[in-house]
Amino acid sequence: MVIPVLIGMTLIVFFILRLIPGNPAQLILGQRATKESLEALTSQLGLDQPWYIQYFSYMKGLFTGDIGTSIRTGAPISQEIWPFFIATIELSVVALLIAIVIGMNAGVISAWFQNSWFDYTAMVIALVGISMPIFWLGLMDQWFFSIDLGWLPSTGRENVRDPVTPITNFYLIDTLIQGDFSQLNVVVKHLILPACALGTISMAIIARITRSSMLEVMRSDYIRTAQAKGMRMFWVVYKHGLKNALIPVLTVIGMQMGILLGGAVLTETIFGWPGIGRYIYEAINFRDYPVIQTGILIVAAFFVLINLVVDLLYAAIDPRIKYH
Amino acid sequence: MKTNRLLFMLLGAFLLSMALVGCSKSGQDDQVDSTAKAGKKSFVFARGGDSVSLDPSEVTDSESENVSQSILETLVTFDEGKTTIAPLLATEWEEADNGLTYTFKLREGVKFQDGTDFNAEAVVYNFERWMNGKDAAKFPVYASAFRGFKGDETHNLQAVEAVDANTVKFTLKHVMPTFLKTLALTPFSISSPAAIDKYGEDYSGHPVGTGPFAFEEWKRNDRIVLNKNKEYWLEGYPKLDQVIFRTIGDNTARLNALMSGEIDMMDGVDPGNIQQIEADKNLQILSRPSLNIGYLGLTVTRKPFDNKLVRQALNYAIDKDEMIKAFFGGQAVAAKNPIPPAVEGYNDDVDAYPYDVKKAKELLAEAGYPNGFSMELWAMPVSRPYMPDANKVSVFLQSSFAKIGVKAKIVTYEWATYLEKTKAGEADSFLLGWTGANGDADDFIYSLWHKDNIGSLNSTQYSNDEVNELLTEARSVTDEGKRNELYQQVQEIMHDDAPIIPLVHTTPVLAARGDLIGFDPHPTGRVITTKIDFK
Repeated sequence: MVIPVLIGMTLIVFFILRLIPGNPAQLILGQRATKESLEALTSQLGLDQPWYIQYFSYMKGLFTGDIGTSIRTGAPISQEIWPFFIATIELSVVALLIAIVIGMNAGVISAWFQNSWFDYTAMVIALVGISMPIFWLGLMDQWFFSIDLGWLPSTGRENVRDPVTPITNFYLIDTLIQGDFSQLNVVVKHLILPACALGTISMAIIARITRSSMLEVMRSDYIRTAQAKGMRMFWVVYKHGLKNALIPVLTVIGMQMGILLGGAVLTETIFGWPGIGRYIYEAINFRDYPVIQTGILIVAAFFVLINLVVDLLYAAIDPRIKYH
Repeated sequence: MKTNRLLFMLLGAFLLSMALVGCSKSGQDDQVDSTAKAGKKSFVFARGGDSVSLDPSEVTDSESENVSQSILETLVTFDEGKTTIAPLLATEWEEADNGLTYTFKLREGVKFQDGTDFNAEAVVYNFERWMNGKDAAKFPVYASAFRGFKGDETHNLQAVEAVDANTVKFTLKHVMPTFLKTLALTPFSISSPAAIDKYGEDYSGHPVGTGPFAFEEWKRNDRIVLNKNKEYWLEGYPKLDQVIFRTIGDNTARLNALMSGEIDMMDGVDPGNIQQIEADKNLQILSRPSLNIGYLGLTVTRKPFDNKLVRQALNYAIDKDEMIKAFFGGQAVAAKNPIPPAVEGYNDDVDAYPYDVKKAKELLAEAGYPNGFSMELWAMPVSRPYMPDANKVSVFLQSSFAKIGVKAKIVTYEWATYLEKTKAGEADSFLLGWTGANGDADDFIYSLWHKDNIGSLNSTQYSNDEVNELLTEARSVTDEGKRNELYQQVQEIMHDDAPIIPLVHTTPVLAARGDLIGFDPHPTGRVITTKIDFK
């Protein structure tokens, strides 16, 4: 299944890109472009070839392990893309963790004390969270936590005046391996604002899904039985209730990871985060076809992978689900 | 009761976990970033986009050039704050044979950052690399300045020779009055021949020059790090140990980073934020003298703009001062000519079209449109230094034209299509502008209004025989006074022909830390780091 999905991806992306108006050569050369230089660049980039030749040479490259060269910078994509991709994964994972911890707990407690003031407050906050534009929230966070309070840095992944030495490009891991706790502190501080801003919407969605799934489970007979046995309510809710309410929540979490990965563009732009979203976004502005194609392909492949992991997790959580 | 107590306990636990996750370590009051980490004096400049290449000869974008200027140097440069020529790698020069040969004496004892010598051979090597480029896409600025490459009929550079170790002689085929200003352009920076040989195709990621800072690291879309060139030829400079160019896409986020001290200087300040920055005593505003023009082009081949009276009428219909106050944050001057006042040859005797609705209506009636007409008004989809917010300006123009009975429909396309279509003369009227590269009138007027550039850069399709002749003549005269006279005549004719409505010359604004000194906000938009220091 995975391979056909990815090949379908390449086709769709390839054609949609070419439907966007705008000649890459014009965008690269800018306003000063002359007719001659435009023609020369267009043919140098191979953009004067028919579409099927362009597509086949792209596919041939992919199958031989060549993911292409940026037409704007001339740099091989394989060299540039990994640090961006990993930066985005680090950001998305932390954002998702924040969203899961807070969102799930809020959802569980709301369901437990349905129609209490906590329930109402949490769900109103969740509604606001879903509707909150990230760019606005991000700028407000920067203004409050960086400028007004001066607690956290507003942009970037690290202190550029004293950068982290990358090993895996996961800076949390790199600084731990190096045992450099002052750098770890700096890295964590840089992560907090963008991760919170990015995680807000997911947090709200997870909270709402957890609540509705829990409400259903909490009405079932075995919960009443557990309560009747005299088991403490906390364990009833978190052990018996949550475990059974988890399947839809897990589905949503899996989807959220994909959405965070692809949707980090705004967060990355506002927080100057050198991630893949911005890498692709910049490339779209310059119609840098190879970069856009490869970038989207990698994100898509990762999304497919996460779906696979989620499917496998279903079986781990619910013994009734088995894969043959 | 029991439920309520439990609820409170859970709430407490929830809030605690939120505090732990959301704000861990945030309570510490240590400074987030410090300028003098380990005693190093570093300077962080933030801009909206990353460089494309660090070999300036192969690019045309200012984000690339602005970084190269710290690493590589040209033979001559511009004076501080002006567009007159000053020595840099060449200490003196001589023009001979009626402007067909130029002989440069090079600065002695200068070394490239890789330790090799800068000398006449190195200069010759660089120029031969460009003139044998054979590919307009590879060295675009060389190709347009010297009209092609070696072997092309139009190619204007006959020869570049090393007379002795520190003397270089250039021989031209035709007179080129802008020759010195051209050599001052960043794409003509001299690279280390050894480095070009060593890195080959990868040279654009490993530039080596004679500049005040040496290239250290480039993390694309994030930052470019340069370290002090300890062997720099100018005694006592540079003052900084490190220069970092950062990319932060959003204008407001960039300003936030400046206010929190993470960066030291930024470009692309929104006009709406200027007051706020001026009020902050930790920050300062630096304005560059204007070297651009933002205008509304009127395509003279389209009806009714083929009628001069119509074009003049539209010129009378706009209150530029009001527009500048409202949409340019006051950071612009009203334009009356197609070149900015900072350019030599600017004609200040031209009387600007006053704001006069009655006169505009009279002219329209005279032209046969007493009830006005309908037209398309194209607005650029992007922000440019000469036109930060084309959308708002177009709405302002629309309402101005409505007062004289002209109904304008606002149209926009994405940027590449916009440029292509305007060049092809498909717009009735269009917002556009130009930023001068070398500060010469030729770069503005010849490029945009000579008939040779119709289909290329002359988007209004304007062609006036007298203007064409004067512009061609100005290209063959090296006497500055005579050239300036010719350009002044052109401006008078163009004022009357009115192929455009000159709108504004904007003054691009930078914001910086209050204690930053030694920065020259040059009109060409350069980022010159040599003399920057902190008080």
